[in-house]
Amino acid sequence: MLARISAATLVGVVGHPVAVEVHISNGLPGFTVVGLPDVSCREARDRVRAAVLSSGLAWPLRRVTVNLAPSGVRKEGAGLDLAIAIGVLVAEGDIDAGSVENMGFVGELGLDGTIRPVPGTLPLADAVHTSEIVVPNANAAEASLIQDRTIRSVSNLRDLVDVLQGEGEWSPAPEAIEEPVRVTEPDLADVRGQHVARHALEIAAAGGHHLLFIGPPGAGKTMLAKRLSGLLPSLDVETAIEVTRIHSAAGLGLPAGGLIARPPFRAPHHGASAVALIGGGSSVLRPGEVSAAHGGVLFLDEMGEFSPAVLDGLRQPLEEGLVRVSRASGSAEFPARFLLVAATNPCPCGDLGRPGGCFCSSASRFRYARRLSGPLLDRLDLRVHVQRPSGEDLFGGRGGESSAEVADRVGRVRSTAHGRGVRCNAELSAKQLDETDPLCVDSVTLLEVAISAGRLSARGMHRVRCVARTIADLEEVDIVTPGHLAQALQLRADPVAVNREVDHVR
Amino acid sequence: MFDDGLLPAEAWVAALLQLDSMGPAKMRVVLAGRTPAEAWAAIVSDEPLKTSATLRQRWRVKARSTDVKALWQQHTSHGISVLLTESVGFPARLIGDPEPPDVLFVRGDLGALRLPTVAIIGTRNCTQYGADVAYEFGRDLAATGICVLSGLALGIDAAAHAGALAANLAPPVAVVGSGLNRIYPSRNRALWTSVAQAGAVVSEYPLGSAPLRWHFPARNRILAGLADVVVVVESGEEGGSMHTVAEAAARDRTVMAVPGPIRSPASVGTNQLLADGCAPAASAGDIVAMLGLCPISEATRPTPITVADKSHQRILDSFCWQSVDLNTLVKRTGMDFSALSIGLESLRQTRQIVQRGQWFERTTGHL
Repeated sequence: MLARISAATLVGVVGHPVAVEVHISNGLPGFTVVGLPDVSCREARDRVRAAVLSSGLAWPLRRVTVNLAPSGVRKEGAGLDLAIAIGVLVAEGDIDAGSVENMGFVGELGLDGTIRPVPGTLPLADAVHTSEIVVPNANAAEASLIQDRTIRSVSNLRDLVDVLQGEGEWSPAPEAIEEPVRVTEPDLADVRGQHVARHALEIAAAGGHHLLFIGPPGAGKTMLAKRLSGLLPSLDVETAIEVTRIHSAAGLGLPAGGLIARPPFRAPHHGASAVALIGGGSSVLRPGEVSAAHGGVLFLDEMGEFSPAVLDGLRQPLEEGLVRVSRASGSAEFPARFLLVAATNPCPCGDLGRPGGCFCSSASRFRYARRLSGPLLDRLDLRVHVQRPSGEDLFGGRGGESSAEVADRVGRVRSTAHGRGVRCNAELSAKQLDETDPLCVDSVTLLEVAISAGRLSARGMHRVRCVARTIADLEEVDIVTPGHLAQALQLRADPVAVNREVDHVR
Repeated sequence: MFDDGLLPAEAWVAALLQLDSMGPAKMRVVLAGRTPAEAWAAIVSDEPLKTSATLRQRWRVKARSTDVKALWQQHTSHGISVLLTESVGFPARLIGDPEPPDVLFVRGDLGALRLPTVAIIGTRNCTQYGADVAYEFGRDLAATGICVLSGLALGIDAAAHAGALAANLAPPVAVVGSGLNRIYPSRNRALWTSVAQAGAVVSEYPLGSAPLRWHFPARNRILAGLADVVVVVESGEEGGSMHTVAEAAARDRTVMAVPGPIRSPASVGTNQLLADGCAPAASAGDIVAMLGLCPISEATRPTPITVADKSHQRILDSFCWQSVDLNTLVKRTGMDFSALSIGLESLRQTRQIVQRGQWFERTTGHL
């Protein structure tokens, strides 16, 4: 009369174990679901009943009560359908309680009894504390990333019941794909000219430095940015699983092998709302684009067109590598450690920018540049102007190095950084820098001049030193020279300073 | 309040100009057969004037709440004098002008207008080349004893005034398009004050007037009227400078243009003027000669700066005195990025180059 089935529900990107308790008693026939189910979860009643009947099984003509414990946690989505159906069948006596004792269920039911894929299967299955977990066929690959559990995949309720009744066999486990499929990423060799921008791209990838491209439309800002994720090394196992969890929970597509091994590339449109970008939601907390870009690249094209409030939300993830979302319905933490690449036009007309050539008034140019100003801009270590490539660049001669060649150097610099105890050079603290790279006299002069000219803040100086460290690492030089610092300064253009230097009377 | 006998006509004109939509045409209507004081009294007592009833009503309300004496004190305490066409000190060059201003507000001293005058004008969105040239012309002309006129806008105007002030000899005069207590653009505040102290800032518009769009073409006609020679340093194909040139031509003033690179968008207008037959102004001496004065002996062409460091020279040479971006510099110099960066940093420090957005420009180092 009573059954207890293990399942899980999703809060943010983390699964929470849920015990599905089903009680069948005499009384007026009915079916109630209690325990804080949301709408899609409460609708399970109708799906489960239809699926059970379509599978050729009998529905108990008695009072069925389903409790989803713990009742304090909000249950969302249809991932509990399968557990409820199995619970009903166990309570009714169709399935022996012993056969499901150490088994968890994740899956949505169709009216005909098919078991449909569920977003977040990986974190859900991980949260179920049983040795065997039944997941929908389509989610088997990602679920099999969980070590030391037996993953069973099924395609419909009838088959599952047969197996549990001892009349069938589990379908064979999905074959682990040895080589993760290398998704073809755009290659850097396609980029013609753009010497400085390529250099900046390489430094950004190697040191994990956030990057801003400033340039007219058609200069190739987007093309360059799209090539950044191809320069990054593949994700380590821990991060890969973390990224896969987020993508799974967000309902984003996963590669065939289930595991996301390559750094993701996310490019939200500039109309994105704060919730879409950062994460959140009123009842169901969902990860935003910053979390989807975790471990990879977040590309904000036309950064000046994003609403300032949305951009301000980027500060926490940029600083802490995670997003903390708090709502009345609960709070969640989403990992969000990404490499930010932004692109913007130099002025509203976006076109010329050449001294004497731009038709924007200096005030409107200044206002436009101001939209990117402040704390956010300070966190962009590399800011590079991109010009339209000349015809000579486009048609003459050779393309530059390929992504693979650059990625080799990037990988090397990254492992050097690991040797210093950080993930990448951008994370080096001032103390670490002082220890590894004490500044020489020339370097001090160089930085002093930049600071006194108002081009550099104290934080800016630290960022410049981090970038210089990365440049030195790329050149395989142990000591940071003034040349490295000068390069870092050159690659840190100040878009707000447009025209500052020609305001003749200061 | 109406101890009007004590207040000069200028005070009443200044008060009349504070009324809504009071322009030259309405002013003429109001002043027809009246002194300014009588016109004011007519408005206050709602005598029939040849204007719409609603406007008269608005004027009456405004006039009744205006303290003319306090307003006049505001002018005098700010050192602002008001010149009517018949006033002593009204610029002689504007008498007989096709469209003379009825009134001029002046902060400072217009004495400099007794000197030969040269208006140095050009685009706000200038290149470093233009700014350098405007500065040098301003400085050298002022040093020769020529009054430099300009409009106190950003870019060429500001550079010309800065140069004229640097010479510390002939005082500069600025003609602006806003009320004299409305500094525009606000970034030129310091310059505005210095020009007013050394020479004068002139406006056709009463105190409190905003820098409205249509004020500037009107301002340009005064600028052209006050100048013996108008020099256009840099200008796009169309724009305020070209308007000033047209006004200057209408007044038979000499127009000179500074030649610029044919590829520079900021020199399209000036190069066109040269093609149309304007005299080229390649140095301050050319302008002085055009005024019929003895050319200054010293050539003002930039003395070539010798750079000790070979790589610095290489970078400077690769500019060809044009604006270039980092990519072009990398290509032209063929230097590696590290050496180029160091070179740029130190050239920037010694102010031999400046950076505007992505563009680097050579400079003669005055600005």
